[in-house]
Amino acid sequence: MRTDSDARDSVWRSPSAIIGGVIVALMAVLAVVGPLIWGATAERVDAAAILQGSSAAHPLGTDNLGRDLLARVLVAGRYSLSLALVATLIGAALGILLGALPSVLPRRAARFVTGAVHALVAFPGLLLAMFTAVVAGLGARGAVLGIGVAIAPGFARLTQTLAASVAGSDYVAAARMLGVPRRRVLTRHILPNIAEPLILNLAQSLGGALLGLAGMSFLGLGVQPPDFDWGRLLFDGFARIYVDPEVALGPAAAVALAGIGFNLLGDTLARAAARSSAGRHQTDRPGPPPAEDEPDQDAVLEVRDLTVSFPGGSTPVRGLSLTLAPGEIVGLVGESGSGKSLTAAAIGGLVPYPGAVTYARLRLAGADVADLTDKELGTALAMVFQDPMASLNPALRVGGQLAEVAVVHQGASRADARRRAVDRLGHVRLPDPERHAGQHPHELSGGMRQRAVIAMGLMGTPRVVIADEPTTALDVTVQRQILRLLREVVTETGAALLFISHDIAVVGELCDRVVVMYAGRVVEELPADRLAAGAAHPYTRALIASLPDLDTDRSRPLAGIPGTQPAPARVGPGCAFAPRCVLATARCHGERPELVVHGPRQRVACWEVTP
Amino acid sequence: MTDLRTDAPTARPDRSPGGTAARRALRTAARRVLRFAVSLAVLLVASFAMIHLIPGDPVRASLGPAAPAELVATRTAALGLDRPLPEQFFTYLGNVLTGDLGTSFLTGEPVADVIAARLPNTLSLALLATAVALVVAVPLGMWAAVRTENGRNRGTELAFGTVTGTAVAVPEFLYSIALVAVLAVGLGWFPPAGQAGPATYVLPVLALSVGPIAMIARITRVETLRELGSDYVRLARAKRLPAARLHLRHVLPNTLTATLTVGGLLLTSLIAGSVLVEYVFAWPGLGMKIVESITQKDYPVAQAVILVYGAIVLVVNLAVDLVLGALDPTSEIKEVAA
Amino acid sequence: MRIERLTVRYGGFTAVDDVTLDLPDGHVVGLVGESGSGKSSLARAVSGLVPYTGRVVGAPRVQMVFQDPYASLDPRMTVGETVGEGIAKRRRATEVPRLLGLVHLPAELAGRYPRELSGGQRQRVAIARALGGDPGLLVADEITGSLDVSVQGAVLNLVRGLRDELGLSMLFISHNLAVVRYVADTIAVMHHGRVVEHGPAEQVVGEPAHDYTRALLEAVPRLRG
Repeated sequence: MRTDSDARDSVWRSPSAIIGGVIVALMAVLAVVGPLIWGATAERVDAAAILQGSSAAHPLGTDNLGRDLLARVLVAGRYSLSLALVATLIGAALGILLGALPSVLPRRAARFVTGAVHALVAFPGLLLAMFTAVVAGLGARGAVLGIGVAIAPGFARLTQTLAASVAGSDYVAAARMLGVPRRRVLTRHILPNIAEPLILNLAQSLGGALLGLAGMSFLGLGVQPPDFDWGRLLFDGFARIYVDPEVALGPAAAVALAGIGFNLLGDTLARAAARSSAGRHQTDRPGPPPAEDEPDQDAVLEVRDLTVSFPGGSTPVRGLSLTLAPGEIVGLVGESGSGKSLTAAAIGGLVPYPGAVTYARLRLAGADVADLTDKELGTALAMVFQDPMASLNPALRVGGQLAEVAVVHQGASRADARRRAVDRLGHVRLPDPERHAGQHPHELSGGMRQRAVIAMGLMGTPRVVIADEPTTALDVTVQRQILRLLREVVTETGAALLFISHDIAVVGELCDRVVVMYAGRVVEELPADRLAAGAAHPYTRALIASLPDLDTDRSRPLAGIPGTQPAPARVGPGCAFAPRCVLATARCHGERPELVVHGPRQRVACWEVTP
Repeated sequence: MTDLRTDAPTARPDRSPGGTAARRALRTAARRVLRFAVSLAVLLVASFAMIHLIPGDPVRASLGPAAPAELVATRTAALGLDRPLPEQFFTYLGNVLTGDLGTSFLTGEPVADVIAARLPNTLSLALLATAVALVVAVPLGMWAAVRTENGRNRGTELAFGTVTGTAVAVPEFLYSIALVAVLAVGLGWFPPAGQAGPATYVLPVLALSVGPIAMIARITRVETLRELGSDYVRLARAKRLPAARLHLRHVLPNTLTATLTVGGLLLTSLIAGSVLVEYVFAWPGLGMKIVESITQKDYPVAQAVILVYGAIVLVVNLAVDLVLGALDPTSEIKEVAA
Repeated sequence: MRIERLTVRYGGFTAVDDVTLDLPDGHVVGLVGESGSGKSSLARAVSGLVPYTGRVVGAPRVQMVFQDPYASLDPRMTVGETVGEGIAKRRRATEVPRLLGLVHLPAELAGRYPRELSGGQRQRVAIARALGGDPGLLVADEITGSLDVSVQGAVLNLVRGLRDELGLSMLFISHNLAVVRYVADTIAVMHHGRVVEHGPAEQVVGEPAHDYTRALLEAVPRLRG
């Protein structure tokens, strides 16, 4: 697995980062050495060469005193950058002060300051800068103050948001309860956690300040002669643009380059700060050979040797096989990181790029998935996800989302499709289906939404329903209703249900058969009614033992499993559970047990159970 | 990590399904109008204060050190600047509310007339540029998102990021200058300055919309990527909906809120950006006027133009808020979350 | 200790409605309810994190452990700094290892950052930090809600051990009735901001008096066979 620092490095190696970095570095060098090298040339008056266009001696031409414009552009870098720096610092200081104020002021005053900042942020910076420049007077001082004032609201807002989010965090609440003084909470928790984004914003604001100052000077509202920055040079050059366009070119290019450099660098900084540790490079991985034996004709879903891998050696699902008969409810149970949800996604063809899915066989309703058309797949396979809030499109009416399947795949008219949608909603016992079909998802409660999602799956003729933690986000009483509904759906349609959950009690109650996953592999498969008494794999047994129920003996400690499940990239050659297993031997660590038959309808992968 | 099981103490009292949605929308709208009114009041005070914040005597500053003392005194009296501050403020307030924005120091024209003549030119420029930006940027951003989802097509992602990143970083006055130098002076395809007929609109609108196009395209891409990763899109994909339907019917409406918010805010920054563009193209709009008035120390004009600009910004923001509120009943929740 | 007529309002919404609840010394009081029942608001009110009306009598130095151990530890502080936060400087060197020992964590962990720990370890650190405040009452709000089952058991054992060994009084909140039954001496059931039933754990589970409690009990999933 690639680490955080790798990902950060790759951000810094991107072309935009390099270009940005190089430009900003050049600007910094120019600011230091520019006036030292070209200072004299830039001030040398030459009466013989007044207002010239570009020539060999003066590539960018000369100004009204015959001074070389190229030298002046190179010299002006220092002044332009210093003014921008000063303006940024003023803006940051002002903004951070304004942003921190609400946390020390009384409630009413704090609200006023917050409101004022909110209003000021919406104001274009240039207007604020002009206002300030009018008051502070024309010239560099007014412009710098103006741009500083223009930058301040953004900083204030950022400071407020950041401070509010840190101040509202649980760890600050914990510190308060421990009696940690206010000042210490500020220095110990709040400041360190908001410093990084603020510094980031400082870097980004520098580019904005530079452009703003250039704009002010270009309008004649900023730097005044005899001083000159890039904006002022542009102001002078622009007056001659109809005659010698090239004299405006030098300062314009300098401003543009600086703007681009700071912006690219700022983007890079922001991305480096936000980067997750996702790997990048695709590795080719040969799939398993196609299964040689005959496909199981009784199965409605048959998965053989399913593997999901991600670049960088992470393989969250490893050689998983699974068979579902019509009308069967199979529970796929495992803890977070066991690969159960990716298994569901792989069967549904929904594994996100760059994940790679391989299998020896994947058959749905008697045909290879690869041979099925979208229409067949879209109607034969229904999926239900964990969060019913996110599973429905917030912008569309519930009825329309259901009707869609019938319109797209079954060629139904809109009216017919809608009638069917209302019928299906009634079928999942959504009260008043006609009315709810016309509503948006946010008008429905969580349980009602999950019913609507299930109804959506019933728009077609589902042969397999895959439900990925469909009740985890729901209260227990609602969970009970949804479980009952799922069972009814299976009984009525004859579809098979693959029910994925972390909760072995729910699985045990609902399902006919249970498949237990650990670290990407199936470790045990058994009938659900044998879970309590007949589980054989040490992991399954420990999982059941660590789950308290209403009859658990309160006088005895609960079982737990020491250690943690290995990350998908860190699974060793032996049994993945061996490091946490009380029964593990040297063989378990070195050699992986296969899933073998152990009693009626039960299979286990464990050396200690089936040596 | 969000927890969906426990009761969050921030639970909104009226998030119960159905029922109070209309009332809630109305209350939100009322709150926004109130916020607008308060901001407007602050703006009025600020524009009034502007003249008084100028160090020294603004009339003296405007007329120059050589002007005779009597002239300064009569001008000051004519402007009412010798009255007590509260009285001046209420006079100012009354005048503004009746449409009297004062008279120019330099030309003696009523400022309201000047603004009435020039405002339409500025607005037409800004609105055209916003329209162009939205029409170009939204499809561009969506296309880029679909092509680069989950890190596919690294090349496209890089090119898109670099090009838009560069385009955003170059200010509109540089585009203006480049366009004038190349397309007007160099090639002579378009008039370099002034306002006379459709051809004169091309370059200013172009200069004004390049940055916003890049900006909106970037935001549209990010928003689209986020929606593409959501469960309802996964579900739509599991239903095997055609790509066009998935993107246009499911994803697009959900990205519009953010896009339009930014578009609305960009309109206000476009109005500010138009100051510089107008200056380059000698466009007879408010922007030219404000630059002139500030350099010439014509304070009543500067004061009034800033007031008008500020009011436009507030009105646009209010309109964006209200439209979004009507379009998307959950926008306030998003706003809180943002 | 006793919560008397406690009410929490957010705007026009009453999250906790006139709740009175006894918290006997050295007991674990379990609080169950579904989302929106007001149990988390009650926890935050007792901990002084949200304004309320009514009284919390005789509960000195309330400390709280939160649900999400990823959000409740400052990412920029080491385990040792976090655990030692409420402790006088001179006692920190001896207290931090003792507190880590109480939650069965090795003392070497003091130098690590939260991102290097597993969810279960983080939750132990949060408990150790709360113990450092020498709590008269410990409020545990869904502390196993974001843990895997195999880790949950150990944390629940720890909670029970702390009560037995230190005589710690606790308000233990969860949506999971089986979890609450396992750790609590008495159980209070919350519904729509009110406590609808409160009694000894076995009695509430075995002979529920309120319809809502019965509905909750029936909904608890059980293994068959």
